[in-house]
Amino acid sequence: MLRALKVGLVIERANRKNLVVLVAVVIIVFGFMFYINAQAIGNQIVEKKGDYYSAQVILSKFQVKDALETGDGSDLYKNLVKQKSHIALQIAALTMDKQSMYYETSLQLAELRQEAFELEGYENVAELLPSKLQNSMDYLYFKRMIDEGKDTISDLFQYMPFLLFFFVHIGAGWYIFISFHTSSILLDDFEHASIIQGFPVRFDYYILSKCIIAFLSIVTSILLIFICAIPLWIINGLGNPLEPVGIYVGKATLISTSQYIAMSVGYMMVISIFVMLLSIILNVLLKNMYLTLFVHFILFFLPMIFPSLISLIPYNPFNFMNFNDILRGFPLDLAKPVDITMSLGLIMICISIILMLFVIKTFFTTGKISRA
Amino acid sequence: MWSYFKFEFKQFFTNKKNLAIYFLLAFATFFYVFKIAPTYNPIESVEYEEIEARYLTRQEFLDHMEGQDLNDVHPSVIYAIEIFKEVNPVDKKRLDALDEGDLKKYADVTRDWYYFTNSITYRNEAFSYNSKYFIKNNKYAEDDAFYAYLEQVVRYDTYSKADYELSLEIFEQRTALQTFERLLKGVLPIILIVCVLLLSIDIVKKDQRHRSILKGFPISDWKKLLVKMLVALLGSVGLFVPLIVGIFIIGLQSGFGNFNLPSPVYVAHLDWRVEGKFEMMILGTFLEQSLILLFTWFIVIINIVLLCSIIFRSEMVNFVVGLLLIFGENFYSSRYVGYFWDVQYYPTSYIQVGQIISKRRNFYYMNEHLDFTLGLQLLLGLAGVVIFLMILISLNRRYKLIK
Repeated sequence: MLRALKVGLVIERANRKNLVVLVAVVIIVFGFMFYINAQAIGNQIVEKKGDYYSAQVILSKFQVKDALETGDGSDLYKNLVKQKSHIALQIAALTMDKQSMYYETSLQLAELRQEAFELEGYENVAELLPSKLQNSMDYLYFKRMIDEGKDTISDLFQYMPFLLFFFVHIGAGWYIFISFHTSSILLDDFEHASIIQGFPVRFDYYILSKCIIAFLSIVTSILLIFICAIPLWIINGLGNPLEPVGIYVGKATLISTSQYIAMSVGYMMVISIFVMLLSIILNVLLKNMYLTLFVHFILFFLPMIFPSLISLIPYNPFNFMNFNDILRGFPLDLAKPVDITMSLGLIMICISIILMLFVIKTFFTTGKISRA
Repeated sequence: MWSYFKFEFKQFFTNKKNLAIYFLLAFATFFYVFKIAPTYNPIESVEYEEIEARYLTRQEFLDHMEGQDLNDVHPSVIYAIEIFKEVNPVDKKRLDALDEGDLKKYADVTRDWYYFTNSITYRNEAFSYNSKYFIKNNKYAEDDAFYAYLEQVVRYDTYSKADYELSLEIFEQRTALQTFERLLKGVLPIILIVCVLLLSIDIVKKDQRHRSILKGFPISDWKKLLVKMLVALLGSVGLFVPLIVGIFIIGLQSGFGNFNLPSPVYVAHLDWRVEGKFEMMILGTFLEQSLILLFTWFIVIINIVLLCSIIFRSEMVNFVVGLLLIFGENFYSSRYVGYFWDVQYYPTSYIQVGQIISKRRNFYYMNEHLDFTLGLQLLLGLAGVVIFLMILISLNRRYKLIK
């Protein structure tokens, strides 16, 4: 066992692919920084201006009426006019740098939107407004900020906020990244089948050593993400590791930034193991890197292209691969909402991992390895 | 010669990388057809509620002001009354036409509406274009809206004289051919050209693996290169197979459209009095010219790859050179830069094929010289020079295609 690991490590050390993977991680992290900068993401004023024009677009569907409490406009119309003036107030508060006023206004806005969901005719204007779940997360966030008496706004170019942004957006990308990384996990050795067959190690140990090595390089990639973002820490400071983030776990809840990051890393590792084992099975069955990738992609993208599949088969482990979407409560916004959470996903993925381990242990032996 | 062609052809279409590219393109097409196309939500859509809300608001104002003494009111009130009296009957007619389901009449009055609304809104602080143009913090929202409104005028003008059946899908450009038109004005040309680059990238390099077989073909090097070019061209035509399937599916969902639909062309005169004039072109001509230009790009890219392959013999160099050519425009492109620089003489300026044909690029660059014929001449000239160099090198006696 140990010998297999040692030999494998020596081989992998010379594999240029690992280096490419690590370079790709570095490029992606720095690419994110440039992207945030170029798109002015996190620039609250720019975003609120967008919200303001959205409100204007929604209001263009209504005849202008008296929006006072006693006025003759519909309730929804009055509500939307108030929303618009609150957004204007948000912009004003941000421009004047009055953070506490910004939080108060935002909380009132979230309350207004909460009321709007119940009003008649809401479905006509729902398109440009946040969903119910999103709004209740916003509500919780701003309430917490006011309760704690915060008067600062987090800057995405600080260490923790940047990492949070990165992990919130990494979801789908991680599966693709790992499937590229592991798509030829056994294939290089198939080229030299006679060596493997002559190797005095049991097949399951051989697979295990392969997995451990691949897992090590994945862990290195994750560590590299944290390392690459350190310049931000040095330049702009750490940021607040306890800044709350809204997630969905059966109901809308707040957790801290560091908790969210830790959770993401955990999910990413479990997903990596899942993908790795699937790659091994596909490698042995198909003996081709491209075909392996295709099968990966089809399984992964099918629920994304046809979201009704998620409602139809809620326990499909591939629904949970895009973990950020599940944490955001995306399945609740589907045409046919399903209530699935990431803890269920974790169970499903673990069951699949055990099943796949069983399949590999029982059905695959060294005899299966022959030249592609 | 024929047997060499067959050999290359077979190698090209059994190459795993090439199959992967076709497969990924097909996958992207289906993703677009089922996921992205249904969410297309144009700014200039046919929206009853919006027209009605605007109409009622203004009508109420007019009714309120009716018969009042206008001597000591603010001048802008008088201005508003004048404008609303002009535009409100048009909005009323649009609503009536939609109520009756008479799309031809709707097209007729909507043309007038766009023309009039644009004339009162452009560079006028009292009125504003549709707020959707401003949502993404667009600095040039007013210009974009100006372009769109005038384009709509020409579109609706053609619809009002149409002898084919009209539908809301046609008005909102959702039919299959119109979707293809929108894509050609967007990201599709670049995707296809990158695909061609990837397809042809190893077409010379792969020969290293079959040296002994290839030495058996008694053909001179330059003929081999031309055969390779032909095969790569045939392969790039194959890229259209998944696209056609996708277009067909969209056609089943929201109608196919026809080749006589309008696809207006911007008339790029820099004379301020005729600023923003559009001419009518039918969709058939647009597609024909776009495809010709696109195909010329394919030829250019394939030949550049061949030339680089025989000089540098490295796939990576091919890739970098190809990408530089494809994305070269991004190094200098920015709004209105064509007014100061002669962007029309750089072949890279013609990469956005659909925007060149519809001359939207001219509006973006503020340049009147970018056009189809000049682009075609430049690209064909480039391809000719590259082919000439390629043949010259391969005719050199010391040069060997397969070392």
